[in-house]
Amino acid sequence: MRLNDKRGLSPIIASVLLILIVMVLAALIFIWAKGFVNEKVMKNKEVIENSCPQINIKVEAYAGEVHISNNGAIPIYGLEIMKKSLGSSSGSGVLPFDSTVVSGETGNIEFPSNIIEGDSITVLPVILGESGTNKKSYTCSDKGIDLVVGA
Amino acid sequence: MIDEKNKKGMSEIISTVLIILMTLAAAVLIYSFVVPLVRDNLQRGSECLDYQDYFSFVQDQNIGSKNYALNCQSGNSYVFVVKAKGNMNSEKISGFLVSFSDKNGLTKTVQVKNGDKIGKLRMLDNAQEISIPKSGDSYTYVYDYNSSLDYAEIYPIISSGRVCETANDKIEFIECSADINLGEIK
Repeated sequence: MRLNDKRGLSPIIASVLLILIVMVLAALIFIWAKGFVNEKVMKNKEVIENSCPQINIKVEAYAGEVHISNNGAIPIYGLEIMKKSLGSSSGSGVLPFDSTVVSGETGNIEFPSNIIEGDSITVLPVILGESGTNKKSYTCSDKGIDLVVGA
Repeated sequence: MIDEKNKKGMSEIISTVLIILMTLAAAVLIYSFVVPLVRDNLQRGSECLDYQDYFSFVQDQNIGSKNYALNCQSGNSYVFVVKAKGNMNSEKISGFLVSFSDKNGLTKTVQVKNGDKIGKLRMLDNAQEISIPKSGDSYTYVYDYNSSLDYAEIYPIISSGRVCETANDKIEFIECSADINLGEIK
């Protein structure tokens, strides 16, 4: 058997194959590991939590509705209304405005049916951010405004 | 004597095909066994991370013009208010564990899940079942216990049944004010 006749993959083909295998493996590991990382909700190119301190709204509750005026720079997508009592405080879920209330505008939302005149409520502003390609609402829990429902 | 030139064995093609097949079989084995094993362990190891601070105690609450200091004790009844963090997926949480302790460090733990029957632990609003607050909500509980308790810590229970090991919040019970009605002690 002559050594000169030995055949196999050329070094270039072998290198290309190795690089391709590594790239495929890296892609597989990336796709697999991506599932373990939660995608953050973003607004104005930063995490949405950072937008909450900039919210400035005035809220009133009367005549079956919550009225807000947006005096800050962050558009308000909706509200979450919490009915408060000593035993429990439960939220209404996100109640969106007909159209987002931008700076300088006013908006109003009807009360959920379980809220009546004299109830203590907390009104929480809800803003809209992006998570990947999806829009996602975010409730600013630290910006709650306590009030009593008027006539 | 063996003729070197006539030595026979597997052809290069057959051996290459065999190596490729063995590699594929090994890859399938790894994918079907090792990957789920690692994934499950990683998930189990990280499932508490997002929910470590899900529950906290509410120290005081403004209802109308009144401010109520909660997390308090009246006789053998201990009141505490549990708040669930907002903007979270409540479905991943099945309940919580409260660890009560006295000044000597003696502890008593209570595990509650949604729908549990009331017993020594009950709801302040006299509901017949225990409810766990959903994201953003807060509920008030009363624990009836005929011995002195000074502190309470809260630990979330994940839907898999695992109790997260790090407490997010700790309270010290104070004397309840007269305007907090604890209802009938069971």
